[in-house]
Amino acid sequence: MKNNPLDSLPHSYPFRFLDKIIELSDKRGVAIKNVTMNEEFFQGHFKENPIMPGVLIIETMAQLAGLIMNCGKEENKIAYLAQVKNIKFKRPVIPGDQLKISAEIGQDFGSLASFSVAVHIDNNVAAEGELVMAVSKGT
Amino acid sequence: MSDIKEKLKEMLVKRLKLKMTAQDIKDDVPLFGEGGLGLDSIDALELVVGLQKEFNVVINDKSVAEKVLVSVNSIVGFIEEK
Repeated sequence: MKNNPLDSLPHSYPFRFLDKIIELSDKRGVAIKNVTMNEEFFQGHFKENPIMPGVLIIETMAQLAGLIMNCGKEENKIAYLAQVKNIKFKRPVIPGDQLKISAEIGQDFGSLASFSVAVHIDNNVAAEGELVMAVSKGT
Repeated sequence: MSDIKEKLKEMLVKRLKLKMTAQDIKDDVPLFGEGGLGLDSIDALELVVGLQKEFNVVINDKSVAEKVLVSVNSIVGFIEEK
């Protein structure tokens, strides 16, 4: 795959939570994550009742926000999660779910930007809220 | 004039969850750094959003932000200019 935008994602196994990019610009993005029973975290979260941890859903949204922040930039910088605001989880994410992750930039200071983020499953909101991302200075 | 100041101070306390009352904020106290309110860059982002929503003033440039987000007085001056 040439020019796969996922290539610029600094995360690798076992911490890559985006499978496919549907849309990506320096303002907004949409991506897919397929959740399977093979996910390692389902072994313990929870043994009889597999549910994707909410913090990993936040991580999934943050990875897309980081890609948006780096989109179109000459140099790829690591975007760090700086703030998590008003995130709501509206339904549990279970094996077999396909997450449609969307993120849109709000206030943008270049090295610091806020994002409206959401995860949909079958057009229903599974999670939504706001994230602030910061890109590293000088590295 | 003082209306804007009061409204701004209340917005600061509420949006940035400051552990003080609006009356405690002096007009010329530095918003950032030690000896001031001690805000950080993430607070600045929240502040810009608040100014846009509640005062209808837009700061979309970092250099403008650095000039405006200095003290209550400097922000009020910026709002009044608009």
